Amino acid sequence: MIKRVDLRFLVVLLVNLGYAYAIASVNNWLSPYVYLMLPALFIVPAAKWLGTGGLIFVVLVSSLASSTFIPLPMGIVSIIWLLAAAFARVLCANTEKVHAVWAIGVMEIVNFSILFLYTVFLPSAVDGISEYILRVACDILASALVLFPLSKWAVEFPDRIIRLFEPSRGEF
Amino acid sequence: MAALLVCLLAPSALRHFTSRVFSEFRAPIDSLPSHLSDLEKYWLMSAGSKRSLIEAGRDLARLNSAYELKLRENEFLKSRLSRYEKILSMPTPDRFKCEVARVIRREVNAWWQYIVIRKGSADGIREGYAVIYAGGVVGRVVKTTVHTATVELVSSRKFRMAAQFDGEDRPVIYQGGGSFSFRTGKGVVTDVPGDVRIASGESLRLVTSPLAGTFPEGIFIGDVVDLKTDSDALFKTGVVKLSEGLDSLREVSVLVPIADVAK
Amino acid sequence: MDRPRDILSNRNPRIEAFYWLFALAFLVLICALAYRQIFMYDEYVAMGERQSMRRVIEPGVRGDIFDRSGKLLVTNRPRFSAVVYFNEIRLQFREEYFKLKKSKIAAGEKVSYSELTREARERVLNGYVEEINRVLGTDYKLPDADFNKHFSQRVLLPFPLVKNLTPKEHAILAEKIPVDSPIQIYTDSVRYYPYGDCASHVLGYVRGNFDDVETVGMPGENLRTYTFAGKMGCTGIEKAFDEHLTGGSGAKIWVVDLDGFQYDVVADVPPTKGNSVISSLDIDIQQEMEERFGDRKGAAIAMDVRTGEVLAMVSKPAYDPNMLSPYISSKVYAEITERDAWLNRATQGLYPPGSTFKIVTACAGLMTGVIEPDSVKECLGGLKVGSRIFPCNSRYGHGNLSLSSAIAHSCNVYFYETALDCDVAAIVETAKDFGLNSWTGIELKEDAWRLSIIANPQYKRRRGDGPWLGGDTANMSIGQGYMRQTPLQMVCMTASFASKRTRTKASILRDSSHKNTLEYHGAEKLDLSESQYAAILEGMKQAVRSGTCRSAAVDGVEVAAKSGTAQVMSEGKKLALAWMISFAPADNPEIATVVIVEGEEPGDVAGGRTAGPITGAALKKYFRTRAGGINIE
Repeated sequence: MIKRVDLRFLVVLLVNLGYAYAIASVNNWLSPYVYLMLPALFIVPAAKWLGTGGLIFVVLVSSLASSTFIPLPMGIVSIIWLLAAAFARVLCANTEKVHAVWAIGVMEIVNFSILFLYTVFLPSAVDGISEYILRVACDILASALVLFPLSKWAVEFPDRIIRLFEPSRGEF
Repeated sequence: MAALLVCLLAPSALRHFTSRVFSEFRAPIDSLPSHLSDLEKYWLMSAGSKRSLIEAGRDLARLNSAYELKLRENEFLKSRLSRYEKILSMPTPDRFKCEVARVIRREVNAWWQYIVIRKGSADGIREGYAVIYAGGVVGRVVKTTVHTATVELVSSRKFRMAAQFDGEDRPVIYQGGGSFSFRTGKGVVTDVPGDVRIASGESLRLVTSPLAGTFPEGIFIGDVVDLKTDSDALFKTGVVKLSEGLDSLREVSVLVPIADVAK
Repeated sequence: MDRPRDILSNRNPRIEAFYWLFALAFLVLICALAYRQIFMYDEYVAMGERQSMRRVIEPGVRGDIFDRSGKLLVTNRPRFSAVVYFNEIRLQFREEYFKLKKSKIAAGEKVSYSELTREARERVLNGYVEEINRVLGTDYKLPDADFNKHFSQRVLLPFPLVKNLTPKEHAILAEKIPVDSPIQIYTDSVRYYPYGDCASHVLGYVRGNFDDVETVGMPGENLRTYTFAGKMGCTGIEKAFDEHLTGGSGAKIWVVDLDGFQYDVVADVPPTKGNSVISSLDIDIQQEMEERFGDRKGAAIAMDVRTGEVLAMVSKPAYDPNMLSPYISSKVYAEITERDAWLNRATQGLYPPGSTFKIVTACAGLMTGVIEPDSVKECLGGLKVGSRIFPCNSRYGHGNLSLSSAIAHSCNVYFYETALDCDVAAIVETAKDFGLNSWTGIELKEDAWRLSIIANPQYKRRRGDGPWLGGDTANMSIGQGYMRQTPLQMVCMTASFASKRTRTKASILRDSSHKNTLEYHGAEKLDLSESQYAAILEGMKQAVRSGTCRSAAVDGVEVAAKSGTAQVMSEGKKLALAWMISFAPADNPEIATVVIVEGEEPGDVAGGRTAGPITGAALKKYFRTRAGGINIE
């Protein structure tokens, strides 16, 4: 029991840290043009596969790791992510199999909700309201487009890694 | 709910400490890809043919000797300049030491514009230091860890500095105007004296002013193509087109004041 | 048994009455509601607006003043101040208030709301001033301005923490203070005079003005209004053309919350810059005359003979109007008062014209026929009039003199005799014709022409000094006695004589399009024949060639001039006033000048010796530059 909890929790945490690194690397090249924001990647798989305690811990750590530059008090970002995690948990409840449409739907809704809250809380760093809206729209659209093909795979990915170590076990 | 309360009610000192710890924890992870990239380049080069390596070495040697000559000329000019300053009893402007650093991360969006460089407090870099590159101003250091530093870009709206037009010494104020999708960032110049004019089809070079002491004089910021008179008719305001090189920075220089180095 | 019909029908009159009462009450309510919603709608909307909106009036920047060739004489320079808006720091005020209250209660001290509020605000503001000091390395203190008063009366306007930042301080604050900090840099304008104390009296200065800021036509007339200080001209061109120079006000309508703090702009009318004034001054001639004047007291004016435009107007001692901007400190005020520098001696100084008045006497004598152009009189060094000897300036006399020679050598006796032969009324009329007790027409408000005096019997009688005597006529003939004129009147007289007309209308504006006519000047042709005029002119030319005005000579240009040394009693001392009037070129005049220098010790000044070099320098400058003026858009 303890081994399964640790493994599941560890896998999701490490995957999330991997995502943080990967997204940062991609943004390193892309960000003068568009900026990808994919908080749903960190939240939905954790909400799907982890218990409440594990979910809170993983989401907290992931929010800390991803929010280095966000010009908001640290707690605010964590609160937004935790609220999104609770929301994702509700959406993931009573869902056994991971369907593509469901995965895309949940991911896009959670991602968009968080980005919307960012838009509410964060002050504009672009001169001119139309320029700001254009930039935000481009970033949100690009993020949504990137999330579209990745959603199902991202939700299933932690489960696939666990199966590599515990092939005899079904879904965890 | 408990977690939410903890996030909300935790004292700011705790939050600040946690944030700093994570920054320090994250910093080596950020610089790791940069080191890996250097390693990759090394392997690529060592896998190259002998002939190409010899040619690359020869080109580099030519470049090195040209730079050597330029360095000597620079030293000569510096010593002549300081002699003239002494004769004319002119105050010596702030001198800076350049700390070259690799850019390891870029974060540019509608809410923040930063880069992370691969040198930090261990290399003498402190918050508030100026950062430049071959094409002009990059920004200012806003946060440091032991081995990395976060630089707020010149295109950020939170970036503001004293500037002047090339060939003038009347100060104006430059503030970043943000970064735009698929376009180079821009800025805004304000407090421009009302008698400054731009001829049609031309632009004015905006450079750094030494007044505030952070930047030395004369480093390129951007080009001003248009000036509009403010409603108070005292000043003009203009848009500053920043250099396109900012979108693809690889190496920058942090200007460390000589006085701080001596300390 | 019969039941009552109302029970069977379930009707109860009392209940019915109650129903009707309720119906009536509801009807009244509905009518009242309808009245408020429909008829009183506009009034309530207006009340709501008045309660929730505020108007901020910002005066426009003042226009510039140029000299005749387009050089900038007066403009505006920016003044940077570090300010806070109370709106942005009220949470901090509140937090500080509660902190203070808690500590005072814990310490068992008595708590007063107003004192606590004041102390809380002071602490917060001091905190910001300390932050500025930390960044700049300075030691500024919170200004004495009453921030409680600012809170109650000017809450929408910025509160200055540090005024008059230097460019370096401005640059450092702009870089080092975060963009979203409550400390902001506020820019307003102050008047700037690039030439310092040059032409200070004629240009004038301004003072802050809250009351007369233009608000007519601005939106939100019924709203509570806050006003930034405007500027109002106090003297000189600044005052004379105050309306023209004053910029158009701007207005912002702010929506405010319950506490009166702003959070949104609903209307914004930007201010506009005032109009420029192109003066007739030539700053090069002005500077030359001021430099030659040095530290002496007096006045000097140069005028375009044809148009009456003032090319230069010097009044010494002067002050630097930059020291009066943005406000006059008591120290500066006391210093200027002690030097007696407020007075514009060119337009407000009243002096006896001395021998320069002999031109008027000569004209009167010629016009009345008591003298001819070639009339000769003998000067023996003095003339007995009544029981008194009226001296000439040559102790042993000039001998026989013609009119021209008398002017050239400034012989008093010739003019005593001319005046005594001629009726005093004729001299008075001639002086009046030349405008020596009239308004010169200049646009400046500081003009003491009403106090000028052309001595005459009626005046003497009004003074209670007894009947008019021959000696009074003798004094008057040489510009002494009761005579009092301003230097501006004298230069107008000179210009009039130079252009052979009776009057010259002075002007401080550059606009030569219609000024070279008799109608414009309100003048008539001088009633002198060619030979009569030539005699006086010859005398003035001789004065420069070989007479008392040699120091006013200019190479290559023939100058006509007349010097004078008037005497006044001041604080028991007999002091001299050195005069010189001139015009050039003598035969086709373009420029006229007047110079008067006040002596401070007996015998220290004399007309030709003291005023001559200043006159000569002004004329040399004019002919060297001959600036014509450039149109300024």
